[in-house]
Amino acid sequence: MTGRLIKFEMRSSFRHLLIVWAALMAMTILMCIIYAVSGMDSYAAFMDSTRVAEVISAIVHIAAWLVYVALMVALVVLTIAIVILRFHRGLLGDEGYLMHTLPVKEWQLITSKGVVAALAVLGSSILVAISGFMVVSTINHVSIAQIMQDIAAFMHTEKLMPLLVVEGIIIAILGILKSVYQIYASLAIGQLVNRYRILLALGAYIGIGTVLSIIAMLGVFFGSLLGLDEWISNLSANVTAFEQVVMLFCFVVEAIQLVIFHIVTERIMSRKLNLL
Amino acid sequence: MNTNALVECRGLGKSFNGRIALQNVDLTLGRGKVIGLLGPNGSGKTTLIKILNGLLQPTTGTCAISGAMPGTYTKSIISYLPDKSYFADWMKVNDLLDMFEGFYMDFDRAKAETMCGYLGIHPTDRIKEMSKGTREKIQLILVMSRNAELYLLDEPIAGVDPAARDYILNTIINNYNEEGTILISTHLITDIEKILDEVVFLREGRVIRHEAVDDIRMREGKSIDELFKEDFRMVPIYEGGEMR
Amino acid sequence: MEWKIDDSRPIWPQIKEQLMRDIVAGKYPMGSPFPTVRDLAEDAKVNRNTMQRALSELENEGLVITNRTSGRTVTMDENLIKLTRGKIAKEKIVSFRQEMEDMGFTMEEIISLMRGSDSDVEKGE
Repeated sequence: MTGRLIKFEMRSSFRHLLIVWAALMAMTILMCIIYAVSGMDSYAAFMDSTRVAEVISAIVHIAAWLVYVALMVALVVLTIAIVILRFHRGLLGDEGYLMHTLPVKEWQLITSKGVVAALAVLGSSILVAISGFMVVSTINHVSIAQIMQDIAAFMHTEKLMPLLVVEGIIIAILGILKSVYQIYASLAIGQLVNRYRILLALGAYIGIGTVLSIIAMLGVFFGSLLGLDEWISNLSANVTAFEQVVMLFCFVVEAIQLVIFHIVTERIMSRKLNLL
Repeated sequence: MNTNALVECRGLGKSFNGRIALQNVDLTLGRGKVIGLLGPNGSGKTTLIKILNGLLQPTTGTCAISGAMPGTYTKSIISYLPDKSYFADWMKVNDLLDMFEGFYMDFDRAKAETMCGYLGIHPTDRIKEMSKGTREKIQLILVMSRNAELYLLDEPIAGVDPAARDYILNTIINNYNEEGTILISTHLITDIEKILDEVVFLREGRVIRHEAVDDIRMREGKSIDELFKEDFRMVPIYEGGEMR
Repeated sequence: MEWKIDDSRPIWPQIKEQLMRDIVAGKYPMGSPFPTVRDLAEDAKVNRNTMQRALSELENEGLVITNRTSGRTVTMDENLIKLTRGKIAKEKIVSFRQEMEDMGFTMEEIISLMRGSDSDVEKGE
């Protein structure tokens, strides 16, 4: 049933997103072509020959950048909107009357939204990164072979680098999920009231953020009282162990938050659902 | 066939931030009946329906549907028509049919498609481009195309024109699973009283009457509508003539 | 079919009476198949339980017969139909007579009124 929910959710979330992804990729390729052409010797010679060509070239460049940046912004806005609206409308609005009366458990509904939203964020992030990378490397005349070499070299800077990269990716994904669930928990708190729901959700989001920073500060404070910083500085003598402890720590912190946000959301929605 | 009661509520109560919406509701509903849930606006009809289908949790008391507490199982045997349009607007009729088929084992897709066909609705039509009336009809078709044990219909005929009302009532009485029970909430009694077996009157969150309609007509010599008007007569604030 | 249902009386007896009248009037000929509960309920816009009850009563009185294979048919018993027809007529007449007598008409006046021959009554003399 969770699979079916995810499939349904994919269709509603990705229907606009795919278009913007495609548009961004097309624009990226266009940018690369423009800069590849600009970089040619014959182009420079042509530019020098006439003033009109120079003006047209400048206009093309500026226009391309405007469209490119606009697409980037649109992608970011759309992705955030999908995360918020698919949950807000789909489970807390009128669509909720259908979703919450399907024979599925509350956690399945939340998970299906969360997984798809995290995929959307992940996909958009990767795409933005790839696009930026492509444009920048074209402008700077870096070849793909060169990039591959650099990556390979980076992987060998340290013995456990590939492991660290994998761990980093896992933590990043966990972090995305956690951020999505923080929004969900806030929206769930917001729907407890009949008016000013968005306002309360916003307040809850800020509140959660504040509480988390206070906990972090207290953690550092009590940690140093317990002599934790000393332990860490001893540990940093062994670089590999130090890295792994840091990774584990990040993983645990993100995971705990994720679990708490999920439980809060799930409990509120199964005990205190308040569809208007 | 199951012989136990289909719906069993004991001491059911619900309050929202101190405002009481339902109190001490004891209600037993049998199978194979068409039951009217009648009461003025704000009498708790929607609250009761939402508790039965699991959208709300009661503050006090319990309810069981076919012996089970509201949950995944009861949702699989209840077909619910809210007084809202619950479609995601990007969907086509086909997407909805897929969804119902995917989640409800008792959904009869062929039946739903036939009924859509009668209305000239095409499976590739977009929900977004439909009129409000057509959306309501599709929602009703989906709900009535399930062979559910309990149909919870919340105000299906409020705010529709007479032709649509006839269509809705016909669709309801011609398509429900005969071993299932229909609980239909409304404040427009004249229009539906011919199709009812039983009525439940709600006033200020309490059940004040639960009886077979023909028993009422036999004993009182009145239509349900007349009885309703008597039971819910507005009491004038100043009785016994002019104020002095 | 035109159904006349009064909401202030139990519905199934009203439906039964109307079906009975239709049978004796030959609208459903003897031995012919009788419509299903479903179709009748749809036509009368009542629920199937109500229609079922009306049909059960007709079955009890023998006007409609349920065969296991071919559904319901109208009885072939000509005598029963005649009897039923007489019974309905009698009921109508009794209630009509009661109404007329309540208005002060004598039996003789009623009869002559029905014949249409007595102008005195109509003139009110």
